[in-house]
Amino acid sequence: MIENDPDSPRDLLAAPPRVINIGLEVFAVDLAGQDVKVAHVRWSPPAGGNSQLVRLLEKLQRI
Amino acid sequence: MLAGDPVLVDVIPASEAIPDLADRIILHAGPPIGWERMCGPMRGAVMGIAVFEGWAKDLDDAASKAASGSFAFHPNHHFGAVGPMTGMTTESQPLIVVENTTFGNRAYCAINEGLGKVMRFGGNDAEVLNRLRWIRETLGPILGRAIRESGGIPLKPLIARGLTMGDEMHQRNVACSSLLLRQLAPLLARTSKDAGGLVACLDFIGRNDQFFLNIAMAMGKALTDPARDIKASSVVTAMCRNGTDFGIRVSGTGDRWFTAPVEMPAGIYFPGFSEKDANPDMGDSAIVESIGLGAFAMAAAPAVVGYIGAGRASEAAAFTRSMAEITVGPNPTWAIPAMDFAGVPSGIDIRLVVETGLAPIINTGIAHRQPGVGQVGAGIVKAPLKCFQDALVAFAGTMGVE
Repeated sequence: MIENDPDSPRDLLAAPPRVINIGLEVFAVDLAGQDVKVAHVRWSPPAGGNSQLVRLLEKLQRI
Repeated sequence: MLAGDPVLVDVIPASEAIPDLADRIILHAGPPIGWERMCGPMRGAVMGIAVFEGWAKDLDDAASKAASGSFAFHPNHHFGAVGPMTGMTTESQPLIVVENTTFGNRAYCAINEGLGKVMRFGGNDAEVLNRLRWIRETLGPILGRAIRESGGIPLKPLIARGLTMGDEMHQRNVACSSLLLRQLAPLLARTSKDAGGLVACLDFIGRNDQFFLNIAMAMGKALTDPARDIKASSVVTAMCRNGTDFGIRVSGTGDRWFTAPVEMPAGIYFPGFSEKDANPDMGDSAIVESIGLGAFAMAAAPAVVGYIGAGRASEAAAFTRSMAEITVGPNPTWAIPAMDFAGVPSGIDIRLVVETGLAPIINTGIAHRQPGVGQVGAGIVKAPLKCFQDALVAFAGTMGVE
């Protein structure tokens, strides 16, 4: 392990959290409200998780 | 859609533009709807236009006749036309004519009435009807002569320039209205037969920042119509609302409508009004979003973001980037300077809408829910995802996919 390496597990735990939040935005909002630096990535399951629509999209993609 | 070349070619009476538009036929915005399901401002506009056309002696008589089936209601889209908000189109109104010279088709829209109490927002008092009469008897013929004298005004370059001057062609048309008036003014002066009428026309157009909206809408219809009925195409060819339902058409499923309850706009209200006064969204004007303008081109028009209450001006580009995720690609002819001249995101693909769950966003005006009041604000509204989900199932069926 390299001393003062910002990516080392020890420093990762000791340093303030750096957060990437994926999906539910409320988690990012809560963290930001506590002055935690957070990057939010908007993501949801394809077709909102509707299995019938997902199946149609997959089949159409193969045509 | 990108290959089309729209040209403003004329203003002519609706009966001439659309020969099938017979006596007592009323075209309205949005997907099909009857009197019994129409919202307040749509009913207000129907009552007003019936008096305007001489089909009823007053508003009460018009309402009674409408309820008893004296008028035939059809969507503008079924007649090659579009109309903002309530979208009334009847036989004696003058219509803007835009020709798509690449494909030879034409599309139509009534002339914008200006702001305030107007029929497109459900207004129907004497002031509204007198303005419509003046448009029919003075402005329409004068405009028609001037445009014919021009030999046709190409719209693609006009829109391109408007985008560099802060227009998105839905809730902000100040640049394109001004650019058009600059071209029209000498033509109007050359062809006008009476000085008083000319002054009134120049004054009316010059005071109306939204004058170009109806031309942009006819252009949108002229560009999307040739894209109808293309097998295996999942691109949206029309989005519109009638104040009760939101409707879309998709190329590969022909002229079938996919509808869902229309949503309420979120926005800013004029002094004295609030969301309690608002009607659900209305109009064929979402045709401009269907061709990559309006909310899809929000990055070109940061000033409009504040007007419609959509956040900070610095967030305008986020709307355009988001809509790029549900469109086939950029239109290089219409570039946005603030996005390093990226083209506006064009061609809404229902497969991308359903997959991402990102609903098309539309910039819109907000009408009062009661007939006869008019506009009370402006905002944005999302298209209901159900339209796109139902369309996807039907589209898959046309492809033999179940």
